[in-house]
Amino acid sequence: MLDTAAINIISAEARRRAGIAIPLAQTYLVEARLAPVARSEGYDSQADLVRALESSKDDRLWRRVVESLADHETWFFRNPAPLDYFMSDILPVLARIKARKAPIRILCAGCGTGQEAWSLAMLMQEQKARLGAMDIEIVGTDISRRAIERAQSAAYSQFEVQRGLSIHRLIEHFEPYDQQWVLKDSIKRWVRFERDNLLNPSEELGGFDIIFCRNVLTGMTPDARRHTLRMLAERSAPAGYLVLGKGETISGAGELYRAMSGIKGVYARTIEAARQAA
Amino acid sequence: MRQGEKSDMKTCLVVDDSRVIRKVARRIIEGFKFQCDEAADGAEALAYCRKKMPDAILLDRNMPVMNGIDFVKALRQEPAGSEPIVVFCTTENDVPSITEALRAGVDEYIMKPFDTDIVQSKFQQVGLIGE
Repeated sequence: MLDTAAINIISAEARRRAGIAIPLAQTYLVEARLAPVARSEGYDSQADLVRALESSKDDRLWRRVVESLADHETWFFRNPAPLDYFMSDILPVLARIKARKAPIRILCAGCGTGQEAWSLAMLMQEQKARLGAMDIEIVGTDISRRAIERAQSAAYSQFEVQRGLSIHRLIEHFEPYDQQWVLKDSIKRWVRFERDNLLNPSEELGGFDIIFCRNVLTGMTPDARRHTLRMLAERSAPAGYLVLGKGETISGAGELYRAMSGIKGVYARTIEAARQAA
Repeated sequence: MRQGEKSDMKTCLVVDDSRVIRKVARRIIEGFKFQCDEAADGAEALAYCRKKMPDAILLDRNMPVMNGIDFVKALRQEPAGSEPIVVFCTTENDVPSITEALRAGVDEYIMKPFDTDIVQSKFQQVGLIGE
């Protein structure tokens, strides 16, 4: 069991490093997430782990702890309406306005174990004929190294491939391998994954025409949410789009984005971009 | 149950030779507000469907008397036999088995072991329940 002081130390560092908000009612979650970290780092308990963190200020260990708190569950084709809207309404607009040969760049910010990025890749593969010569890049980023490694592996358990994925898509896009289901190379080629912190994103990732950042802001403090939305706006193309998760809003950064009229949770950087897809 | 509620409820036939699995599946599907009945093999299920087609059928593969593949082939030959949405539910999880079942006429496929999340997701895939 962790006492209040230990929980406070962890909460403060999770907030500072990743903007993570840990409500008092969820402190049990901290214990649950820290248990495997403590075990694999060789500590007898979570309390021993926190003591070690306090005394050593070990940056690697702190990162590992905060990343374990940032891990969140996701699944294939979660809330698919904005994905379909992107394919049918936004992608044609982007194709029209893009300079010839410039790729259309898509960011899945806070992609966790990668299911959203792979879902987009499956849609691209299925609609390949319609895309013609369009060059498309999908990039998934997450603060958690463990999540990024899992996303890169493109291998999912039998449980994971049955959530959100139809059986037709499973046999079309995956191959069974060693008790798992692995995405085929035809899907893998669409996506790359990078470890990145939304509070301090890497410039090297470049700009994006559309950013999916779904079910990430929910777990953040209000300050971190505002900061993240500002950072995403900086990463956005001048006429780019942003997609948030169910129940998430642009509040606190309303001057940066305009809500699209046709669909919930989709925003445009400029009035022109909002009009073109509407 | 209130008067008149029963006729509005969607119906599901749970077909499995294991009583335990029928019970577990039934409890999950009743949680989605379905009215459920059970059958212990394909022949029993076919007799049931000839009287009244359910909206959904959760179907095991390996059963005595008539297995799931033979049942769904026979069902699809029946008048109105194309109406029920058939969700296969089996431990056979290799691609040839899945392809065989899809060709025989099943709409979705659950690989055992399953839980509420999986059944819910698969029922959403085929439009039996909303998001």
